[in-house]
Amino acid sequence: MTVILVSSDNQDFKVDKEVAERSILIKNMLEDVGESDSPIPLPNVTAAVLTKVIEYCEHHRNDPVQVPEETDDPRKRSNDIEEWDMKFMQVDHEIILAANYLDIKPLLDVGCKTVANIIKGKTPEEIRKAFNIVNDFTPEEEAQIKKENEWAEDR
Amino acid sequence: MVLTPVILTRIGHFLTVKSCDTCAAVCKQWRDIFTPILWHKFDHSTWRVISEHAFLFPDQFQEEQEVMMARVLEHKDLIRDLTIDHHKIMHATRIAALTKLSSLTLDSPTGMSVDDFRKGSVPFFRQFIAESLEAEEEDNMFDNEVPEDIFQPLNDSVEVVNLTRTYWRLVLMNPGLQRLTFKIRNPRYIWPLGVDKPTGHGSSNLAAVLTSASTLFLTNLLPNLRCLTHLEIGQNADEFLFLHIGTALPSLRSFVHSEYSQFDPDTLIEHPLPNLQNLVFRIAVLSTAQVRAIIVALPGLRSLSIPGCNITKEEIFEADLWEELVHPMLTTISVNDPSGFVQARIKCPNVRVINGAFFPANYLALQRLLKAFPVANRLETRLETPKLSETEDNEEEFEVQSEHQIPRPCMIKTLVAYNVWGASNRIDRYARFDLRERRSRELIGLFVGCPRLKECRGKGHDILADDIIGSAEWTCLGMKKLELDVVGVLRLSLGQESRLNTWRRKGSKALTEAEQDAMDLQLFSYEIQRQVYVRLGRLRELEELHLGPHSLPRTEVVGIAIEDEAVPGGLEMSLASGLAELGGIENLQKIGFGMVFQTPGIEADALALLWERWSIKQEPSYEGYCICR
Repeated sequence: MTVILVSSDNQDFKVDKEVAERSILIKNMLEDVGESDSPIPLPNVTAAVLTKVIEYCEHHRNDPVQVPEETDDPRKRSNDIEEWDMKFMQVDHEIILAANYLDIKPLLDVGCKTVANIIKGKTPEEIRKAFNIVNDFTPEEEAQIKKENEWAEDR
Repeated sequence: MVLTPVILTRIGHFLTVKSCDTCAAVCKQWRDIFTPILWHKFDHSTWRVISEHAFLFPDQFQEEQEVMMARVLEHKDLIRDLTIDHHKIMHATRIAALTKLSSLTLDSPTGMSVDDFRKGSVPFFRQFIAESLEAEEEDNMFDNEVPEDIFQPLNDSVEVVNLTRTYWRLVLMNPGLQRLTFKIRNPRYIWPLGVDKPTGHGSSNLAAVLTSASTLFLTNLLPNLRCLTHLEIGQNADEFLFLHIGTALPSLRSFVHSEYSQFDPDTLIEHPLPNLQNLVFRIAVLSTAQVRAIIVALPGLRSLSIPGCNITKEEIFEADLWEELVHPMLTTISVNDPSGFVQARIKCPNVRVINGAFFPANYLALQRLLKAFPVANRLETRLETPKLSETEDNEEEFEVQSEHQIPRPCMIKTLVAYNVWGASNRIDRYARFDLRERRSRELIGLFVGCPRLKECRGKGHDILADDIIGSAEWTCLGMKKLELDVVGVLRLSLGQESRLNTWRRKGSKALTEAEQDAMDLQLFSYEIQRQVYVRLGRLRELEELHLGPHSLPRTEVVGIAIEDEAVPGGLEMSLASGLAELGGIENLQKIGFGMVFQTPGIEADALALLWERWSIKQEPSYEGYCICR
């Protein structure tokens, strides 16, 4: 069974239902409308990004559905990205936003881990540059931060 | 790159403490997002200024420590998950007065001794110690919960008493506590539950001694921990804890025990713990009866981890009477050798992953593993290997981790017998068969259940003729090389054989009773053998067939015994015994038989058949039984 997804720039994508249902958002939508051929509009995702997201879902179509692990340690490892996923993520952050919107947890995690790895080892100034962020701290605040920073171990 | 706060928060969970700290220094928005993540989990060892590093050069870091302390106090309300050693407990309890913890871990101490602590040699604590000693006399509010009489006046110094009380004060100050972990076993300065004491001099095994004071302490304490979902502790009060988890700790889902264990299986069964989902025994090897009690009393268990499950001498005799226990909820097992579960007659039909330092070395071990865990498909082994290092000072051990798919028998292509215990860690395509275990039916089970089996080589594949005849259809129809020792065929004794031969030579003379018996036996034996040959003859793809016996004493081969009694033996190679039933095999290249008195035990008519059908002729072989094309 296939479903039709429509990107924000009005392109149609024919996708196996099983593949599309990797997205919890789409899965819930399909459950709500029941048996229906009507296309599913995704106004927050462009065709370029949707192509990549579908590629990811195709590649991972047979993965077991993730069971949330019972751990309350919010800090997780970021060094366990699959090779395929690593190559895949060398695109841009729009995929992360799309994964968040479409509710595809594993893709979102891969994206977040990739960004975490980018951040690792950088100074605040380098991070601002990489993410195009303006430093809005006052010089006094910055002096204070500098004094406090420095003391955490890298783990 | 524009990332929303929701996504940034998610990214924060993948960052190290240092990176998180850096992110909080990027801009105000990032500060607001990353600061709570940074302080959510506070682990003393991740902040160099208060960890070992600082203790080595105390005065050098005085200013930094004051800054650090100010930071901790500023953010203390964000701390939910605290890992701390006993040196800093007082600080967390009295100065920071942390009250919103959901997780508390008591870690191994870093750097300094209690004496250092008392002398106040670390500036971080100097001021605090002065304050806390002043406060000591004022607040005795928790002394009732941790009464004097659970301590041993001779062994436990004032510091031990104070630290233990301070620790429990911190626990009781945090009614929302969900996780309580004692990473250290036998802590020297804090008795986590103040209950276990060495039984004798120099004995490392502690007995589960609960004094009445300790019991009272525990009874008063446990109801204060009603939110607790995870408890990790190294105490010998496990029997007491087991009894009270169900009533005093109704929320507990996970229990980790890091000491030796002596709980009575019957007591556990009387006090079932239906809510517990995760149970770990770090060092205690349990008896099969204890594991059976766990299976019965903890029906909600999802994950069980024990170093081992050993059957005791007494239990071996009881084990036959045990009913099979099925635990449908368990999905993960960690155990060094899962075969104990088989002995305990436990079946876990939903366990898919087995963690352990074990690999089924042979086919039987695999078969038994699958009996207890029929859907297990992954074995994750952790073998501890000492680090190869030229310097002595690095005694660190690391773990070799590997994952194996557990092969189903139907995947096995080759079966090899071997003589010595060999730890093979790859049996995805072939299985080894241990010579010391002759299990005819289990071997035949492989012929029935392994359609991909192409080769079955090696000495020691003993199979009873009756088992062959009685087995279900074999599916290994693509078998090319087969070495079997067909045994247990009733054959005439040497005496019977010569008597029958004499009678045949003389011709018409009527049979004596003994001769008649021998004649009947021979017909019966031939019928059995013919049926064995029929089974073997269905393996049409065979190219090599060896019909041993390799390993039986010679008396069993063809009935050398002199008495007039049938003896179990191997197959006879003759047309009378049914060799012609192999005729359907197309491309036989080689056929081997057992050796009898230095000559292959094969009749002349059989040799003629082999030559006519497959152009196979007799050739000497050092193994003494080989006939080839």
